[in-house]
Amino acid sequence: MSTDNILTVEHLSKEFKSGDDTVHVLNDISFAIERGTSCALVGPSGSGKTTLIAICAGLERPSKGAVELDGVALHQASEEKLARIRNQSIGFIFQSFQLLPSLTALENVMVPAEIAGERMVRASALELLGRVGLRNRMYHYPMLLSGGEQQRVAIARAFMNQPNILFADEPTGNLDAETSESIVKLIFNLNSMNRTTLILVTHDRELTEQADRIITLKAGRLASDVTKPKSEGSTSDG
Amino acid sequence: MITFWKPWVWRMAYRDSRRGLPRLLLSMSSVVLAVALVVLAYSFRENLLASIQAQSKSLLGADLALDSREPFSKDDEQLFHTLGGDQSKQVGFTSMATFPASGDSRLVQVRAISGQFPYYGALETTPPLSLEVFHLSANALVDENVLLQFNAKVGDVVKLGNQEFRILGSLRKIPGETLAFSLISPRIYIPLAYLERTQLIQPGSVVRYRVFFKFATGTQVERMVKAIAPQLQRLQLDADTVSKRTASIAANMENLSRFLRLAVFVAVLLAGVGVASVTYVYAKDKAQAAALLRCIGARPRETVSVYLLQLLFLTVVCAAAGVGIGVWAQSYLPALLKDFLPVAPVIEISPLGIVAGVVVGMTTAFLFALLPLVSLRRISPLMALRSSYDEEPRARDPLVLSIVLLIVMLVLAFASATLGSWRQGLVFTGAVLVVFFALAILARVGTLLVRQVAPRFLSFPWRQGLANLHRPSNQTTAVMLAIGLGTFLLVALHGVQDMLLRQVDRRVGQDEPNLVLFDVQNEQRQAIGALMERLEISRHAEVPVVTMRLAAIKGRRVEEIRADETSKIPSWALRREYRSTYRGRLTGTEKLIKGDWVATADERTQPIAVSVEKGIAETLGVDVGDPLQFEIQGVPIDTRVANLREVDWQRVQPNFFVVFPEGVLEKAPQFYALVGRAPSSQASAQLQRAVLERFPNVSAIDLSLILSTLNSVLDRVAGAMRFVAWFTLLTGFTVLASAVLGSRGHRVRESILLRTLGAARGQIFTAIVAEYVFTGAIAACAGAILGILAGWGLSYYFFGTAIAIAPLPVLAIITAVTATTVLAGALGCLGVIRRPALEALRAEA
Ligand SMILES: Nc1ncnc2c1ncn2[C@@H]1O[C@H](COP(=O)(O)OP(=O)(O)OP(=O)(O)O)[C@@H](O)[C@H]1O
Ligand SMILES: [Mg+2]
Repeated sequence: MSTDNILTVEHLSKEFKSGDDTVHVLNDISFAIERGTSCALVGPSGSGKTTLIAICAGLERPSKGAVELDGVALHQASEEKLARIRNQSIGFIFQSFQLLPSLTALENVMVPAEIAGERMVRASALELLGRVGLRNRMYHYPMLLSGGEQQRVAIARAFMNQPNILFADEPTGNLDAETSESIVKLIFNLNSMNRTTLILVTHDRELTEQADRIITLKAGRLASDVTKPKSEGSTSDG
Repeated sequence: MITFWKPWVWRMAYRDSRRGLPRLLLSMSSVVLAVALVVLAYSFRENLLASIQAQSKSLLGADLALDSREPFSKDDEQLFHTLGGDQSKQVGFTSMATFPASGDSRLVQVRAISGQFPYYGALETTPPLSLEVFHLSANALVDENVLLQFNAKVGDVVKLGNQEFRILGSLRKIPGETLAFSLISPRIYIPLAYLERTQLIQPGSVVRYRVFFKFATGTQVERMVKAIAPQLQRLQLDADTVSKRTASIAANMENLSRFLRLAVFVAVLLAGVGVASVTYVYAKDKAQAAALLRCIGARPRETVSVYLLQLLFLTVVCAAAGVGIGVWAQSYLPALLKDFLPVAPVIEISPLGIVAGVVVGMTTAFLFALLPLVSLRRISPLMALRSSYDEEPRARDPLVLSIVLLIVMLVLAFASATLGSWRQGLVFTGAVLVVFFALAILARVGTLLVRQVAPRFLSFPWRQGLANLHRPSNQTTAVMLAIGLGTFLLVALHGVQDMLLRQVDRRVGQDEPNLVLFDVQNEQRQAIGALMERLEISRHAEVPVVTMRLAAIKGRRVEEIRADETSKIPSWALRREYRSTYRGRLTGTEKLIKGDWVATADERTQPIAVSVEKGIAETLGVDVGDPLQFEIQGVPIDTRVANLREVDWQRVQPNFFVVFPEGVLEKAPQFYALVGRAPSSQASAQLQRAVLERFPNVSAIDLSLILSTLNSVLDRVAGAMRFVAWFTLLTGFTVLASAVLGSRGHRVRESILLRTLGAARGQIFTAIVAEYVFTGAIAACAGAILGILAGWGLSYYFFGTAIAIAPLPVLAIITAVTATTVLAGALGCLGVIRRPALEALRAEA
């Protein structure tokens, strides 16, 4: 197997100390994600999914083990370097959308590029807004958008810096079934178009179905890891 | 920690501020006030000092004044003649003035003048003065306050000694002198030509003779004075020049302005606390956004910079507004302080005042805003992933500690620079810290106590209001601190004034003397004694008084010490007439604190062992064993400090700096002070009238005069300080207003929740009122308690005892402060309950 892995996790453990107790949230987890694939992370509530992707995205440090993203050892990187990686290589989609309420839709999309110090970012942000179907709402503040619309803006934002990998933590958790479906479509479309690797936490069966691979966590351990056989049509070249 | 050079930081700061900024700006209004106050205080100082310089000649009224304790001799006149110029004379002394219309009398300072004095500036009188008319007949200019006190008016008659004078005008202002001074020692001007007819000047009287000169323009007065210095010393004349006078007045005004600047600084610190509190809520609001920014790759210091930039911008706007208000308001300040000013300051825009306002105001606002904002750099990006993510308690942020330290250091530096001494700066800083912390703790304890006790008696809306004190966005601590501090100042002021008066009143208890007649000649003693007996005024003592001058300290001539610029002994202590007595024992108001008491001595075995009062000994720099030489009407007498005494000056009794043993001064020229106790103030007035009729040279002081003088002086002082207290309170209310604004969102959501649960608008309104009743009352009580304690502390420090403060005015202050708090708070929330639920939800979400 060719080893173009974008993400490698080795013997990862995470524990939290609260007072005298130690909570073992993740125990000796190892896996690798191939570039350009999509992977669903599933498991019961409290099994450690959010914690795992937080560590993979460099938001949290592991207690033990190694995480390598795009050739960078995250567990050893400086805060400064992590920030740059988050900005350049990673996209985030949250369950609670997390738009900045004081910024318009367009401005929300522009933020990651601006943080990176890029200049002419308006056009590409507009284009992205168009892709998620919200070009006509670009001057609206998040308060005036519905939940689904807000999440679409957040998705546009996540793709703004053309990340190599996208993390989504229950992106449809706060949305109704119909809206969820369109959001899911959008994520997978954009993902395949940009050849982004996707790591997706979800309870949604349908969403899980669309992923190339399903990793199941149970009580902080890797319970199963199933890779679907590649069907010809799913790796789109569009 | 701060990165302002990234363009996105600026863009982000701008975009994020478009909507919330106006409200945030309002909530920073305490900074506007603080900057305005600083501009005011510093501009005032600049203007005042500039005006003193500009009007320096009118402060003396002449180019040069020469002083003597003796009537001018031939040699003196010879010197005056050679100096040339235009000359005026003035004879000054203390005497009783009687208003025959009412029969009232009081101690005044008489100044008999001749010539064209004042040459510069003018005696301000109503009606305006014509010097020519004044010198023509027996006219008098009387201090406005005295006329008010005795219900006399222009055209009435005032009697000094044996001569009646017609009141030509009421004196409003004397160049170079403050009105406050005239309360203690009111002045009457009469023409010198009519002085003799009063027959008030007698051997042994303390009289100051002055001559004023006006020279041709361009005369080098300083050089002239230097040239004649040896002659002046020989003739025992003191020279007062414009520059000397200006320097001493400027020094006095510098003290006044120091007080003002420090008081203003307290308001600035309070505004700082307000800013910290507003920013704290702001930072809480922005935590989620900061976490998101971190998630998508912003660095911690960039995140902090976004919000800091906004606050900096606000601070600049506030500073600009503050400067505007300060510059506008500065023309009103002199009117408030006019009783204490020797000149009417010319108001001009002071660049230094503006710079001071901007620097002090912005530094304070910036540092206090930084305090809560730096915590944003420790916000974990995880907070974006977990909405309910609770910040785990972290170790104390060393950065916050260093900022706090920096603030304390800056306060210390500012106070020390203003006060001109590190030690005083330290005391000020310590006091401020203690008061701030004590207030915060008292408010906290008060809230807890009320929460423990009150709920059992309260209905739902009141319980709800009480619970709301703990809403974080309410900034309860900052609000209480601000309101408490204002109350503290008001109560402490009132307490000190009240206690001072009552202390004096009380000291003069049942059997203590309450009346003293001064300057009683030997042959007048018997007659006055008889008068006292007739009016049933008991005679407690007859104290002999011998007037003397200090000639040398520790072997050094006084003239020499005065010429020595390095000497720390103030001129007044060297020049004054020492009115000394002799007796064989200590009185009840004295305490020996060092050395041995010597009861008798022999005139021939000098040096003579004398007892010296502790305070004057410190001033003169002498201790037990040191030699002092006095002069009694030109005859030197050598003494040695045998002991130091502590004197209780609060009693109505003649007290003395220097007490001689018996057997030395008996034959010296002397007069007596008669000490008595009148059963009523009427009897006291009656006696004074009768005595003055027969013996106009006698002066009287009684308790009612002391009390009324003290009261009027305290009233003026307290008036000026109350202005500061009100400003502090005002700052407090701006902090309150910003808290009200800051908590609107929470309040709206809460009121909607309560309404969906079935609460009526009335109940919600009651809850809001209740909240501010508790806030105001607890803060005001905390301030009042601390104010009373401070009053007690001061009282104990100055009098050795503390007495109860009248409770009614304190209660009135508490009520007024609470009522204002409720009014301000409830008004700010009116909109909240009026809004329809849905609209409110949308707008404030
Ligand atoms: N900072 C922390 N301190 C202590 N325990 C923590 C902390 N963060 C997470 N945990 C614990 O780790 C466990 C896993 O949490 P995590 O959020 O990763 O689960 P999850 O699989 O995402 O659950 P869900 O599906 O409900 O989102 C939980 O039991 C949680 O209480
Ligand atoms: Mg989760």
